Amino acid sequence: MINKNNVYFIFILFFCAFTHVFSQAILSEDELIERGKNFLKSANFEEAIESFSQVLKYSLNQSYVALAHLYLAYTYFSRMNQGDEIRARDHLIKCIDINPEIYPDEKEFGTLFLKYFKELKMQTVGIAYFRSVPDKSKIFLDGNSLGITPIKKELAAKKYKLRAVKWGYTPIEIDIQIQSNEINDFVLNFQKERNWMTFVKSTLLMIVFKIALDRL
Amino acid sequence: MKDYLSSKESRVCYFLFFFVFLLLQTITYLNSETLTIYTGVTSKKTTFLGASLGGEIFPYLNLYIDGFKYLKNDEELYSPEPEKNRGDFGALSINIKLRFPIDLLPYLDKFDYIQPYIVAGYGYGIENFSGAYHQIPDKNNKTGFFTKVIKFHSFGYGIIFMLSQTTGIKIENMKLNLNELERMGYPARQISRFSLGICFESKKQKTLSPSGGK
Repeated sequence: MINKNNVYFIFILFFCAFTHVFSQAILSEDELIERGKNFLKSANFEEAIESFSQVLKYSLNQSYVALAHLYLAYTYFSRMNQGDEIRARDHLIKCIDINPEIYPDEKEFGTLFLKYFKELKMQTVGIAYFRSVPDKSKIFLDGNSLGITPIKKELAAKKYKLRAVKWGYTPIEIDIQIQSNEINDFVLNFQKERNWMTFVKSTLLMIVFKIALDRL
Repeated sequence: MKDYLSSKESRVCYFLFFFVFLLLQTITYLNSETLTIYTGVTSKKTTFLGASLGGEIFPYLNLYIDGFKYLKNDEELYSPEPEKNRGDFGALSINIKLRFPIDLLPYLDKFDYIQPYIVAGYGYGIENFSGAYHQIPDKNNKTGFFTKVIKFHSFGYGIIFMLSQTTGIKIENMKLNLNELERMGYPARQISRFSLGICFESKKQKTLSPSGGK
């Protein structure tokens, strides 16, 4: 005969074992990054790469993804096996692409890597100034809100779809290209002729046309 | 009976086509060209096919030329005898369209792809294209194509849904008030038409270069 107490005991045992194993398997992004950094400090490059790669695999938070790319780049840069320079460069480019304003902490990264990072950033990032006439318009780049003009921002050097919106004016939609290592100054002129006043004028013109046509 | 226009009418026709051609060329230099091809039904239970071409002459104001023709005869005016049949209708008109910019309203800037409008027009049409019909004399005993041309005014409203920067769908309801053709004794009448069409717009290149330097 099966004792009920034994069944309960076995169930609790399994439950504890299961949650223990499961809780060990799931680490937060912070913990994975810390673990990777510890491996890196002790020159366990493979384990460090594994930890940072897990962040890339599971994280949906772009700031953690950018950080993981940065540390992966540093790991490959430090290891310098065959092909590691290209890997380091690829990860750095991805990091800068996600967060063009990222800058490595000088206390955590070596001087050579920081110099390499600066050179690569100069090649891939440009400074963009967005101004509009009239001022205080909302700017969207590739659908993401950038803020209200005037705006100064570091952006990856590539093409973007810009949309500027200001109440009372027809939105501006244009393609822009950010040049690397340059100050890109964009002045967006909302068309003076595309606002409520011109619509009223157009309406009056329409009424005049209609009266003239009716008389024909 | 010969199915041809008189020499005077031919000259007027050529002048008209030349004028239309010049107008189209002028429109092509304006802000944007819009070509629309549409089809629909009328209140007389006939179907039609049409096209229009135009451009912006002032912000929110478009000028365009429109032409359409019945695909099916109007049963009320149809006659099996070619010279008596008035069931067909083909017309050419000049229209002014006023677009309502709902994207200027607060929080509706994302809806600039929805373009409601009203349109007013003036044009000429004919109820039968056959030569036999044109040879019927009017009250002044004159014959010819231009004795059968009917003047009309139109007014309507519609909405365009832009599916992309250059292509959209147009839905329109328009009322045509055909004047009476006094010389032939044809009374004035009204036709309502509902149409569905595809419009193609050519947009100017929209890129912006930075004005700053290194």
